[in-house]
Formats: sequence, structure tokens, C-alpha cells
Amino acid sequence: MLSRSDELILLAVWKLQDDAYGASVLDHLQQKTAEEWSIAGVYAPLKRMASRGLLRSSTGWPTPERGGRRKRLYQLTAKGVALLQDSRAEYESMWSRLPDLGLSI
Amino acid sequence: MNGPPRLARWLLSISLHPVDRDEVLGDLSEMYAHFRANYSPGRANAWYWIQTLKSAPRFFFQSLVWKSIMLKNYLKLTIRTLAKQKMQGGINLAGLSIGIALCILIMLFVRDEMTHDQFHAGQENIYQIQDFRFQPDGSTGGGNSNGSLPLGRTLVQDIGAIEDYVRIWADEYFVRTGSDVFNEDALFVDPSFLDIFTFPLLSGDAETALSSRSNVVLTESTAIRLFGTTDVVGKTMEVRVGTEYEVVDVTAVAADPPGNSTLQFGMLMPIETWIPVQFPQAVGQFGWSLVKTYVRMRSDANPEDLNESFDALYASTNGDYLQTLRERAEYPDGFQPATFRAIPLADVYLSRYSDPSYSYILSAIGLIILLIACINFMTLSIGRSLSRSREVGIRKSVGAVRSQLIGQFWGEALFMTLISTCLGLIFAWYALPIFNDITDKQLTLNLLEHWSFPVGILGIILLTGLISGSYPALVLSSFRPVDVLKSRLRVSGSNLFTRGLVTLQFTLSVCLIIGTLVMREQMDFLRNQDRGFRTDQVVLINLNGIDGDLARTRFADRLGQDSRIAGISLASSSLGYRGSNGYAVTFEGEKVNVDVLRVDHSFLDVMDISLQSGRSFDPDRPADSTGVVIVNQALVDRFGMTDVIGEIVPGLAPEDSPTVVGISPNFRYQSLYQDVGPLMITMEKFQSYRYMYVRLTPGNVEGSIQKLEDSWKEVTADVPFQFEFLDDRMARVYARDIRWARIINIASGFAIFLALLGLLGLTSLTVQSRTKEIGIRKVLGASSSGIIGLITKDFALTVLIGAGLAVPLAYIFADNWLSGFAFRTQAGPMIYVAGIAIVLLGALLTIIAQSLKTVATQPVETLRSE
Repeated sequence: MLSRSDELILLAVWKLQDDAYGASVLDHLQQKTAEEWSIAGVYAPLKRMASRGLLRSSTGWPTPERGGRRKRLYQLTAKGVALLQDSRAEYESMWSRLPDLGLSI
Repeated sequence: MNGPPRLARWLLSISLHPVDRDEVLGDLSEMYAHFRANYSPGRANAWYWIQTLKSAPRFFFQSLVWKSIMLKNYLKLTIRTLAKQKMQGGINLAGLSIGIALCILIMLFVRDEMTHDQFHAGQENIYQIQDFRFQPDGSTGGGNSNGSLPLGRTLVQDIGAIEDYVRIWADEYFVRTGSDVFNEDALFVDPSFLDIFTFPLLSGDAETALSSRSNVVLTESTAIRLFGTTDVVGKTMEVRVGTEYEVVDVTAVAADPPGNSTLQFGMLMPIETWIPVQFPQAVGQFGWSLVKTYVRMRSDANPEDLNESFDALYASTNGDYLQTLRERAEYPDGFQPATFRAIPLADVYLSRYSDPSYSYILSAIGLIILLIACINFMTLSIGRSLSRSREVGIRKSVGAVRSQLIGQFWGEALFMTLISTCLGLIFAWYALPIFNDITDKQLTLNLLEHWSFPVGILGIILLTGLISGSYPALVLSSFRPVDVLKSRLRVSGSNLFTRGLVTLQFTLSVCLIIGTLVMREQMDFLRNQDRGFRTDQVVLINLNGIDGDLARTRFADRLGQDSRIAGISLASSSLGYRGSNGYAVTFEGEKVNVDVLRVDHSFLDVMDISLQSGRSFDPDRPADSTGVVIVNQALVDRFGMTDVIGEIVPGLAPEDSPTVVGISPNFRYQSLYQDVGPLMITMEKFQSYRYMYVRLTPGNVEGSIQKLEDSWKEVTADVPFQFEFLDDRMARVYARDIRWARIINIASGFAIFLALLGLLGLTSLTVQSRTKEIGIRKVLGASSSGIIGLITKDFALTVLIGAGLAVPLAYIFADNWLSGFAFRTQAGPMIYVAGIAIVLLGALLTIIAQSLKTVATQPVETLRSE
């Protein structure tokens, strides 16, 4: 099972492909969701999911705007992709054929 | 500045685990730069701060989780090392816990010393008034705490900053309830006593407790002793003043004074109604030094500012005395030779009743022993460093950074210290009664009594842990993995550093041992000194104010024919006292102190003092009781008398200038701290008799004492039978030094024990690392004794150097201590040789015992594995 925030983070990593690291993931999430994300709120799940084997990490090159610090790039593993797809299937089966409650939004 | 806010960045970096630090800070910097480019720098800073505050706690928690995983690993390793090296672990634990236990006890002692009298509310405003006399060069021998009766009231009247005063006269008095007589410590005080000092009353009213003549306040324990209950307000009892008993009413019960109070008492009585009766000459006289005067100053007053007022007051009240002083010596103009000073209550105890140097000496001893234990820890970890260095190499190869290794080793040392502290607390708990007995205190071990105690223990833990872990933390962690793993690095068990530490250990232990021997020698010397009079089989009975002649006559009537009694006599003081007991006479412009001993005619016979020349007092010559003295040789020498017999003693006023009839040898009537001074022995009523000297014949001592007590009860019912053997009483003068001799004795025992324990561990390590070498030597034909000699030589030399260094150090201390005695032993070289020999013998036995085991092993056992 994935939590909603874990799922969003994984999707962001998927979307960003070769350029997924803490800052870019955070940036992407800020743009796509209406929530406020903190760096620790992104960072800790990334790390945790890497240790669960859903993500693979590698070290990226330092850039001047990072103050010469290395970045840690994340990529989805097959296991991560499978889990995401399972999750999506669950969602869709849950959403399908929901009765009309007669409440208009 | 274009980077993110520094403080925020620093906050983040300390909360992050080092492994993650780079990437997180990098990510944030990148986003910050992005923000800054798109928006304003202010907004970027605000964003960075918000991110920091939101994330730092979470990062910090995460890094803790990681650290705790490593901590578990370190802890496991520590316990495994401990289990593998049982002997060294045991030595470390034993040493550190003994050292820490001693430090805890000494901390209690020092705190008790430093907090004496501080429990009084507003104690910072309470001062004792002391009388200082200065030499022309401005030096002074310290203040005299006894002041005159009118001083207190005059101070309050003349000096505005002084609010209130209390005068105190302390003495022991006999108290009677029904037919039981008790001896109680009484303080005669002004009613303000209970207001200025904080001695809470359990019952009764502090305002009126001491207001009228016949009032008395008892402490809780006195009330229980006298009446068996604390419900005593309104009861009456009798107090013996002078020679009569007077009836007094109990008006209040006070809590017992705490152990760290200088003022100790069993009962309080009003000074105004008792002291003037006993000392009518002193009433209204400023020249009489009688009572201690304490004052309470206004809280905004500064005692320094009052010195001028004190000087003026002294000049107006003691003008005659100042005149005499100025005549006697050349004082600079405008310099007042004597004056009052206000001494803060907190300083009174340490300056008059104790000595801060005891705290320093004890602290030094505690730290020395703890240091010896720490050195054991260090030398043993150095000895073990070969195996630990492999661990360091491997840890470094798999990515440990040096700071982690330093943390690990220091953590290990701290862990050991922590366990030792727990053990040490238990030791201290059990040793506290003994320690109290030795130091003559009533200390309690209560961890939460005061914040300083847990803080102190924490300090001990940190200090000990840091010192003992410093070698592995700083040296082992610096090894390069390549060197260690390729065995290129040789860490030998007996390098220069280890030797230095072992030398230091033995220097300190030998110092303490020599100190013990010197003190013991001096105490033996004092005990065996020929005093020039009979000291054994003599019983002193305290007359407590009853008439001596009458008591002796009645006693002699009952006991004169008893074969157990060899003689009965009277004297005004107990021989062997410390200080002086006489008066000063002026001789050729100099003040000479002449001691006076009033005796009866049989004293010299009873005490086996035979005169050098002249005659003794003669009971058949009534004239001997006035105007006749016997002087000692020291007085003859001091005054340069020539004919002596028939002369009068120079310097005395004409009306009491007695004729010398005999010269006594210089028997040691004072303590052996002092040289024999000039002494006059007289039957004249200069002083009253205070002791009856009864010499017993050898034999059944207990029976004789019983007989004395029975007879005493027939002689007087007013005063209980209080006796002491003369030699016991004389030994009491040296109680303080005997106590310190015991403390040093015990301390040196611990020090040498720990040092030998360390040596034991070190030898076993060395022998372990050389088992193969020893095996090969044996195969090649070396004898067992040769191999033992090989191992011993190294260590023995180190110990010997340490012992050698101790000699000059010990000599300085011994010389310093001995200089306090006028009669001192010649602490010859034999003592130093003996001290070194004891330690060296112990060291040799330790080393040989430890190496014997390995040497006895068959070479095939040690060599076949390779």
C-alpha cells in the first residue's frame, strides 16, 4: 500500500524521468497540487521508498547554483512502477460504477 | 550576499545526518537561487526560513534514528570487548568506581565545608565582629573573636548600618531534673539570637522565649534526654551556675542545630541575667574579651565602608590599650595598631574552626586516585590498541569518518565511566559511615539535596570519560587503514607514553606511602616522647568548680589507705594542653609569656617530677602557699637568672613578686607542637584548681575506677564523676593530625592498590602479546627465570623511576608538615627507602605472578597453532 503523498512523489519521479531529485520533485509537486510541501516532507519519503526498493538513487553532478553540492537523483524501479500501477487499478476499480448520490456540486 | 540566510543554513546542517547533509542543502540552495531569480531576495529568504523551520525538526529526528542504530552497534561492541577482556574490564571498572566513590565522598565533604552556616536566612548580612591587632609592618595573626560585653549595644548605637546584635557565651553546664544530673552544652545569648539566626522553634514563642531571667530554650534532643519527651514547655529544671543550682523554666523547644552549623548547642539561656553575675568585673568594660558578638547589617551596607567607623569606635573604647601598643613598638604615624573588623558569617567557620586547606588536600587526594584509575584505563587501552587498530582499519575502509570513530571511543569510555559511577555511588553509600567517622562529620548521601550534586557527578563522569578515553579517541582514530591492515604499523605495549603514565602513577603512590610512613613515624615519636613526668596510670577528675582542697581532703579520708591509690593531687590545668595558660610579663621592653601551673604540695611527687635544685613545696610550711614559686629551666634561661634560688621572678608587679625556691627540669607541660616555655609552678591562688590527679597502682584498673566513682559520689552530689586518663587526654590534642594520618594512610592504600592493579593488567597484556616469542625462547633453551627477568626488567625500571621522582616531592610535603611540631622525628632516609621498597616489592610480585603462568606453559601449546 502507498500513502497518497508517497504516490504523488512517485508519480513526480516518473514524470521527471532523468532529472528527479529533491528540489525538482518538490517544485513539480508544488505546481501540480494545491498543497504546501516542505523539503523534509519530500525528502524523507524519497529516502524511505528508496530503502523499500521502489526507487533507485544515484549521485548527480554538482552545479554552481547548488553551492557545489552533489544532488541525489532518483529513478523508479520495476517494483515501484508495478506498485503504482496496482494502486491505479485499485483506484479505478473503486471509482467505477459509483451510484449517483443526487448531490450536485 | 547571494546565498541563503546563514543562520537558517547552519540550523539545517546541524539537524541533518552528515550523510544526507550535502544533497539536502544543495537542493535547497538550488531552489533558493531559483526563487531569488524569479522573485525578490526577501521573498526567497522568507521561503528558505519557512522551509528550515518546517523541516529541521523532522530531519533532526531522522538523524537521531540513524545515530541510535549506530549506538546500538557501539554498545554491543563495548559489551563484547568487556566480556572478552574480563581482566582488563574488571580492572578498569574497579579502579574507576573506587576513584569515583572517593570523589563523591570528598565532594560531600567539601560542600559541607563550603556551605557551613549558610542555612541562616539572610546570612549574607550577618557578620562576626573580631578584634584585630597589627604588627608595625601591617601583618596580623588573625582576629580575636571574643569581644567585650558592651560592644554589641555600642555598635548598634554608633553605626547606622548595623541593625541588630547578639552576644554569645558558650560553656558546658550541669543540669538537674529530679535527681539526674546531665552535662549540657549551653549558649548564653541575647533574645535577638532567634531572630538573627535561623534555628526554628518546634514549640514556644520566639519573641518571648528568652525574655525573662529564668527562661531556657532546649533543643529537641536535649528535651528528650532530660525529660524523655519534647512536650516540655512549662516544665522546670535546675542549672548549676557557679557552685549553686538555680531553677529555670523551659519556654521553647528548638530543632537540633544542623551538622553544618558552627553554633552548636543543647540549650539557650538569656545572657543578660547570667553572665554579669558570673563576671561582674566585665560589666560595662571594653577591655574584657569575653563574648562573641554577631551583628546584622542592613542589606545595602558594605562592611568595607564601615572600617573607619570601627577604627574610631576602637580608639574611643580601647584608647589605653592602643597607647600601650604604641609605646611597645614603633608604629607609623596615623596607623592604628588594633581595631574591629566585621567578618562575614560564611568566612567565620573556615577562618577559625576549620581550614580550607583540608578541602584542598582531600580534593587533591581524590583527584590523584581518580587520575591513577584513568591512567589504568589509558595504559590498558594502549596495550590493547593492536587489536583495536584492526577494527579501526576496517571501519575506516567501509566508510567511517574520523569524527565517528572519536565519538565511538569516547562513547565507550563514557559508558564505562557511567557504569563505574553507578558502582561508585553504591560504594560511597556503604563507605559513608566510615568516612564520617574518619572525618568527624555527619554527611548524608542525598542525590537531590542540592543541584550542585548531580552537576558535580555529571562533571566527574565527563571529566573521567574524556581523560580515560582520550588515547583511543585521538590516537587510534588517526590510523590510516592501509597501514593498519597491512600490519605496517607497530603499536607496542610499552611505548614511551605508557611508560610516562605508569611512572606518574607510581610517583603519586610512592608519595602517598612515604607520607603515611612519615606521619606514622611522627605520631609514634610523639607517643613515645619522654615528657618528663608520669603519664600512665594517672586519672584526671574534672572538679567542675567544686572546691579542690575540700574534695581532696574528703577523698583522701576515704581512699588514703587504699592500696590501689598511689597518690592524690590537684592542679589548675591538664598537662599536655595546646596553647598557653598564663600571662605576659614585660622584660627588657619585650613581652614574655609565662605559663602558670597552680598545684598542691604533693603534685610534683605524685607526677614523678624531681627538681634540678632547690626544694619542693612543703606541707609543713604554711608560707609556701603564698609568695613562693618553682620555675623551670626554660624560665631561668629566658630571663638570664644567675643565682635563681631566693631571687624573685623578673617582670612581675612588686606586690606579687614571688621568691624562687626550686628549679624544675623542662618537662613538657604543653603539647609537643610547642617548645617548652617559661613556667612558674605555684600554690598561690592565681588560678583555681580544675583537676584532681589520682595516680593508681598497677593492677585492676576497672576496679580502681569504680572505687573512685563510688568515693566521688560520697564527696559531692552536685557534680557527676567525670574522669579521663591523662595519656588519653594528651593524645586528644593530636586528634586532628591522627585523623589526617589515617586519611593519608587509607588514600595511599587505594592508590597503590589501583596502581598495582594497572600494572597487573599491563603485564598480562604484554605477556599475551609475547607468548610466541616466549615459546621460541624456551625452545631455544632460555630458562624460566631468564624470561621472567626479561619481562620484569622493563616494568621494574619504570616503577623505580617513578618511585625515585616521588622522593623529592614527598620530602617537601613531609618537611612542611613536620615543621608544625616543635618536637619532630628525624624522618631519615630509611623511611624513603622503605616506601620505595614496599612499592617495588608489590610491583615485582605482581609482574612475576602474572608472567609465571605464561612462562610455565609448554612451548608446544603456544607454537603449534602456526
